[in-house]
Amino acid sequence: MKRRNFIQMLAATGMTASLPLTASKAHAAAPDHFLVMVNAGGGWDPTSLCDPKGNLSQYLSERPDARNEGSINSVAINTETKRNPVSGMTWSDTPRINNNDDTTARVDTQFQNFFTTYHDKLTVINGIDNGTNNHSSGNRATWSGNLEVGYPSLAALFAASKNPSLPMAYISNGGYDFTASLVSRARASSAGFIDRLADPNSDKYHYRNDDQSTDIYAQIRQAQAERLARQKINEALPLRRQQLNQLFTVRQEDNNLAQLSAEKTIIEAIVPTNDHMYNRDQNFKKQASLIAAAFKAGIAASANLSTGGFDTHGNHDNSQYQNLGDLLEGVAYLQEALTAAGIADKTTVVIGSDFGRTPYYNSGNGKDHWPVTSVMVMHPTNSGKGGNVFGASTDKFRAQMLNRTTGQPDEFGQLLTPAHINLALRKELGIHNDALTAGFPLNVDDFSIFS
Amino acid sequence: MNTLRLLVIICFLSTLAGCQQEYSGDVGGASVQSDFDFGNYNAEGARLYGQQCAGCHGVEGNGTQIGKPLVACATCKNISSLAKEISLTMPIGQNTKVTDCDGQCANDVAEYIMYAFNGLSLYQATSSLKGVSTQPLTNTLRNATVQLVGRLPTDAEIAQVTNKGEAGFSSVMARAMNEDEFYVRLTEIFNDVFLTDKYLRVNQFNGALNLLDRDDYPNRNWYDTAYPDIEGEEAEQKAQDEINNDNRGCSNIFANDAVAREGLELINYIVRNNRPITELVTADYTMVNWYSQKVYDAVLTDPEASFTELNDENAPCEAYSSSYSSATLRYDPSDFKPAKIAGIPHAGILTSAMFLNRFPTTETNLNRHRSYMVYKMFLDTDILAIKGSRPGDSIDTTSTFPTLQNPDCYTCHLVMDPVASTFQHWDDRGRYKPNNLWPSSIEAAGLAGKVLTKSGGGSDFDAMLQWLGHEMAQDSRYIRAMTRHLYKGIIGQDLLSAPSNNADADVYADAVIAYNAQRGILANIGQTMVADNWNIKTAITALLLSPYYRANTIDTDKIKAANHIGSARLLSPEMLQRKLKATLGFDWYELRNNDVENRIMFGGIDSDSVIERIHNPSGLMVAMQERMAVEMACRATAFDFTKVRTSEINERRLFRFVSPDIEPYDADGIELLSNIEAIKENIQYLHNTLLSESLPLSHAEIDATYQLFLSTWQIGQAMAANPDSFSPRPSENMEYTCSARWDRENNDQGLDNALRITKDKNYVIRSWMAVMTYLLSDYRYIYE
Repeated sequence: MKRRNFIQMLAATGMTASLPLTASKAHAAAPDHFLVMVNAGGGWDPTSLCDPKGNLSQYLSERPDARNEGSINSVAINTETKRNPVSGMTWSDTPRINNNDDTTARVDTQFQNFFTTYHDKLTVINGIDNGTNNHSSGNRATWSGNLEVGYPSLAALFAASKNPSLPMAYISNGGYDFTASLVSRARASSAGFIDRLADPNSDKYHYRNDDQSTDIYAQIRQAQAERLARQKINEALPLRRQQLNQLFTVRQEDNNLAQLSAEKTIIEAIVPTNDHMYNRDQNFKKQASLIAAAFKAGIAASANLSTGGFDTHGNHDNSQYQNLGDLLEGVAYLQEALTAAGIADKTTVVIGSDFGRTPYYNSGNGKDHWPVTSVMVMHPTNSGKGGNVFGASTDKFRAQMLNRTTGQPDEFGQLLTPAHINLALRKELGIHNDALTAGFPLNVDDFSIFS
Repeated sequence: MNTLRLLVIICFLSTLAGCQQEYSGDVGGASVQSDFDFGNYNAEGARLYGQQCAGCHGVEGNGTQIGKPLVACATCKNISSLAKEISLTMPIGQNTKVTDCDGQCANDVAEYIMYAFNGLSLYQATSSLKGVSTQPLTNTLRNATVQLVGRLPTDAEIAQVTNKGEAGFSSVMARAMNEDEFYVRLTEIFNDVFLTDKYLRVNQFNGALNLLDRDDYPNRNWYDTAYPDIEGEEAEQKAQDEINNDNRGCSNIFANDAVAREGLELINYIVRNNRPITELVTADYTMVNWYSQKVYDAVLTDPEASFTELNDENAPCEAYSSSYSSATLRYDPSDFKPAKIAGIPHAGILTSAMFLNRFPTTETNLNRHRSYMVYKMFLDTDILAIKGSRPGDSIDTTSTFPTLQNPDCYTCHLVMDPVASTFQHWDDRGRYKPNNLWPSSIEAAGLAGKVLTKSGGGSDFDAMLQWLGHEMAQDSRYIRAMTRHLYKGIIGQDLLSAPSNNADADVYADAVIAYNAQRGILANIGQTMVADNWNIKTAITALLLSPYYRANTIDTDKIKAANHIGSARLLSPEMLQRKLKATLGFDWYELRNNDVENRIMFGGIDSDSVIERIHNPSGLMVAMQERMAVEMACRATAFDFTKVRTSEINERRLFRFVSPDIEPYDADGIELLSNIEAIKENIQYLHNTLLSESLPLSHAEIDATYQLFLSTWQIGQAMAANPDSFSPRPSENMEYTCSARWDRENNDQGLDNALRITKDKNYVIRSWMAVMTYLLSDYRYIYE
């Protein structure tokens, strides 16, 4: 049954409540916008990325035992080649990594390519106070806007608001993906197997003739649907009724899974995953091409992409910069995959982490947890947004009061928190007035982050 | 709750006359996730309770080390019996007289306790819930054996339950919980909590062994020395080299996985031997098999014990993988025994390197993460839910030691840091370092206001985690933690959270009733377990008999908040595989052990980055279920018909009443009534076996299934009558994969030619295949 017919049927029978969420509007035939949340798991270091502070021994007096003479970074800020003169967007220079020229050059190239190629799509948001040093709380705060348990991730909320009944409405293979039962999560990492799922009877174990006028499997499906409808009516236990409703809804939808593999093949022909990173961290890229294919095939609306290695309590420079470099290259690949799929102009990508890292090195040359962090948002191509830096941390990487309109330091302003970021993103994504979203209020003032 | 209120509560607790401790350590009230209003309570009783009782019995009545819980307590039957108990015996402590709360005081406090902690009107329902009717006990038996033991109940078991009711059920389950499959399920339940399967070979190469320090355990990779490469071209040398390669590879895997599972095997050992579950945190031993004993150079606690060796037919290496067919090792990798490692002060799972690495620490974290997890796993307390606000931008640069001096910080650190300090001798890699220096800028080791004694003859300095384990075992929150884990594993849901007082008043009131009722029943189950020497089998049986597991229908006039009642849940990949094996005799290729990706797609976990199971199916998961139904129906149907069915012997699992020549109509189109009855009987049997549905033959669902059989058969007759008008041309031959050429229950070994079924002349087998696909994709099959 096609989606339009399905919605009409639901409306006629008054069964719209059987959707896994209490959506109050009809859905578009296919998603018109997509969202990807990229999580750098473990707490990345913004000062090593998009909010560099340089090697000015900023904490020497407070922390005489800190390594690198109490400096926040081990490299100076490079305003010549690591800053955009128009927007002022600045990214970290590259310290010597692993005492290896090739590695250092590679990371430097990754950073440079990302920030120069995607500058015009990027809004960098600095000086965010996450309010926590705990991984679980930090993830919740960043990705839902709320430190407390119970709020769905932005990607879950987005999928639920837009297209909850898609077969893989919200793809997540890790990271904060709490859904508050608004939408089902799909863990989708193997496209090859997904192929065979598009038609359970693809091997024709049940007879089906060429023109499908005789199709035993279709008959079985019909009998299943009728039984499920009877079970829903007769079930006396609320818990089972809820489950039956969910199953009914999901089963009625065309799963369109066959398209996924076809789209993935097309995308990877244009941008092969092996083309970058010399086979390092292929998992991220494979997930990225699968996500782009799922969006293009019209079976998903949002996704989590999660990668780890950022919790650098020891040996920070050698680990953090390499992982940041791979992250940037992975996100660059994602953009290329979205472009190859023809949907880069409809996709928002948000990149963030649990929290930040201390503005000084510990005795193991590592950096510990720190509640000040940054988020980067990549806007859809040709949206006219991007090329902007909003918010600022202090020279000592502390949060500070910011003007809500300009994002500049302002003693009469407010602290910028994940709640503000999420509120702005909800508006940017067009879901802030949705009935579903009203159930998860953020109760903060606006910051004009994307205006 | 703001900081001031919390400080006030702490001050109250510290000035109570009824207790010797200044701080009870009970954070029940402070760690709830909402401002829970207990409702219609006696205000004076509440005041008196706070003054005289809360210090020992907890702000929420959940008990502390000093005072018992007051939820479903022995004298909490009604206000008058409780008031009598209070007036005769309470409060206890210095500077009090027993008569300090009698008469009106006792009545007020009793009323408060009954309303606040015991959902007064529902106290009677500690084993049943008004408005909830339960399924027949035989259905409960079937669900329990399929879920927990991976098989259907036997006729004898069904008879015992039919004849002896709950007592019969308890006996049957007590025996069933001795079966090996039960321990597979138990391992899953507790791995969902501890997540140490992260280190299994299937998830990480040598994930467990690589965590062990080579200096501490020089024989970590003993198999490399025991089974070296053999050089040489002689046939004998080559043969020995092959043997060594296989022994080495196989030992590596078995050793790694034994180390990874040592914590979970501890639980299995405790339960199998009816030992108290408190040993999970107090056991002065660890668990090893033959392969991991060598890793640790561990000494078995029973010097007479020896490990089981399997026979050649069950060679463990080859059973693991046919690529180890030359291995000569026969020691059973599933045979674990208690042992001690020299120099390690074992404290159950707390001192396992797997646990300590799964929940790691750093130089600056100072074991606080471990403390947080210990509270969560063993003391049913979420420290992050303690109310309060962090200072300013969460950074305090004015206090020298914010976690000691800043009230916004020590709200939580006062609770967390003493337990963190008990881990001080275990470093970031889980190594035991008794000489580790520990900073003075953190609370001393302790729990619940009690400080560990560091010096003197009875000191616990060298064995802090043993001290912690023993303290936790006496803490009433440990009972709640264990029952919470079991509830999640058996019922398939989290416990209700304390309702927040911001909803519609009626909705809130209903939620309070539901919450208190659940707490009452769980407290009852917990106490029953404790009374039976902390045997969790008792708690498991009680959960299986509870209305939460057995609920069948709800009277919505009598009970409003009821969405949490019932144990139906989407089967995890592991549970589905076991159900397939129990009902069809074999499981689905796509979800077998080594296919982690498919299992994750099906809602499973890898215990590493994917640690939450999916309970609401996505379209992708539903598509997998439908694929499973088609493939399993194909493989199981004709295969089942190869099994013997005579008047004396019936070995069929599925088609006990029919054979491939039993058709509903004859060649002239005449109904064959006795055949139709046999077909319907078999359908009835399949509904019962596969879907736990006991339906009369005349039921509409039996008829619906029969109609599917019939219409498929009729299509088959039409195709047989005119095959050339169909493309592809239909045939008597069954589709290759669906024909019965292989013994599906025996590694797909080829069947004898005489047994094989490759043709389906009457289209009967393929009609049954349609029925099987229909039933295997049913809600009642994929949910249990």
